[in-house]
Amino acid sequence: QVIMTVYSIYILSKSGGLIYQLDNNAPLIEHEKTFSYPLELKLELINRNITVVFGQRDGIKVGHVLTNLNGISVTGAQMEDGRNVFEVLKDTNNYPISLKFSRLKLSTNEKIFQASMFYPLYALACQLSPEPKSSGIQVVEMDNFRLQCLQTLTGVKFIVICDPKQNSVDSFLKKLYEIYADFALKNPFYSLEMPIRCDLFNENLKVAIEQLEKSTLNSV
Amino acid sequence: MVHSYSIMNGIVKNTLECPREEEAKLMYGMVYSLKSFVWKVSPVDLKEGYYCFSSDKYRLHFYESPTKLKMIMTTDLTAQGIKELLHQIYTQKPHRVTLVINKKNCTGKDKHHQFVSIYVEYVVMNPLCTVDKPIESELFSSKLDEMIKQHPSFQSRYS
Repeated sequence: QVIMTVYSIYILSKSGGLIYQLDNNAPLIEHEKTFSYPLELKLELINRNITVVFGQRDGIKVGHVLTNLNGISVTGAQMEDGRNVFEVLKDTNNYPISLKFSRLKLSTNEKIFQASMFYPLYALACQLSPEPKSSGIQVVEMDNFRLQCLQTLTGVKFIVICDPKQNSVDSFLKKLYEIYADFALKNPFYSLEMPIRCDLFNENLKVAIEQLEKSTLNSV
Repeated sequence: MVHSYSIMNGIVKNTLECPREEEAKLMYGMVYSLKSFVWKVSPVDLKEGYYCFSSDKYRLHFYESPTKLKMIMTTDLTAQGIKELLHQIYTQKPHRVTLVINKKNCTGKDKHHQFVSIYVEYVVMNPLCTVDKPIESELFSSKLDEMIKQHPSFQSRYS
C-alpha cells in the first residue's frame, strides 16, 4: 500500500536561488542483478557517474547509475577498494558479476541547479500563455508524480513534489507559506534570500507534513 | 523548423511582441528544459513521455514519442482526456489522422486545439515536402482545419 505523502519540498527565493530543500520519503528505486559475460547493458561515464546508456531491462532503465558491484560500493568510476570499474567489467574472470543500479540521486549542487532552472521556466510559461495575464506554472502533472508551485506576492516560490493522488496540496502550500513567514522571516537572525536554517521552521514543517499525511489517511 | 497553426477567433493575443517563430523557439526551449527538469527532479522513473502543466489560465500538454517527436497542445483548464487524445493522434492509422513530425513542434494557440494532422497522408507522401522543413502543403492545412473543427471540445466552446 502506497502511503501518500510529500516527496520533496523546494523553496526558491525571489531571485530564483534555492533557499530550502527537504527530501521526505522519496521512494528508493534500486535494482540488483547478476550478469554474465558479455554485459548486455552499455555503460558510460556521464557526469562522474557510471550510467546506463542502452539496454534497459528488468527495471534497470536508461539513466540509472551504478551504485554497487558485488556488494562493494562504487563512487564515480572507482570502487571502494580502489579498482576501476570498467577494468573489472572487462575482465571475464570476474563474471558472473552482481551489479546494483539505482535512480540518479541529485547532489546538493544539482538540486540548486535544477531549482534555478525552474525560475525562468515559470517566467516563460507566463509569457507564452495564450491568454493574457496568466500566472506561471502552478501544477506539473506526470503519470507518477505531481509538482505544485505557489508563487507569493513577493516572488517566493514554494514547490512541492508529491504523489498525483495527494489531495489538499493547495492548503498545504499556504500553510508552508505561513510557517515560512512565522519561523523564518520573523527570525531576527535570518536574512532574506539566504538559505533557511531555523530549527523552529524545520520542526513546524515536519508537523505540517505529518498533518497532511494524517488527513490523507483519514480521507482514504 | 517549426510548423505553427493557429486560429484567430477574435481574441487578440499580444503578450509577446515577437513574431511567431520567436515564440515557437521559446516554447520549444521551455518545453525541452521543463522535460529535463522534470526528469531530474522526479522521484520515480517516467513512463510515458507525457506531461502537462497548468497555470491559472491555461494548460499545456506535451507528448513525446519514443522517436523524439514532440506534440504540444495548449487548452483551457477544462479540457479532459488530452493525454489519450495525443497518444491516439500519434498512434492512429494514416488513413484517419496521424501526427508525426520529427523534432518539430506543432503548436496551436487557441483554446481547444486538436493536433490531428494528416501528416503521413499529405506530407510524408508528398514528394515536395521534406522532413525537416516547415510544412507548406495547403491540403494539409485545410484537412487540419477540418479536423480541428470537428473535435467535440472545439464545438462545445463555439456552438
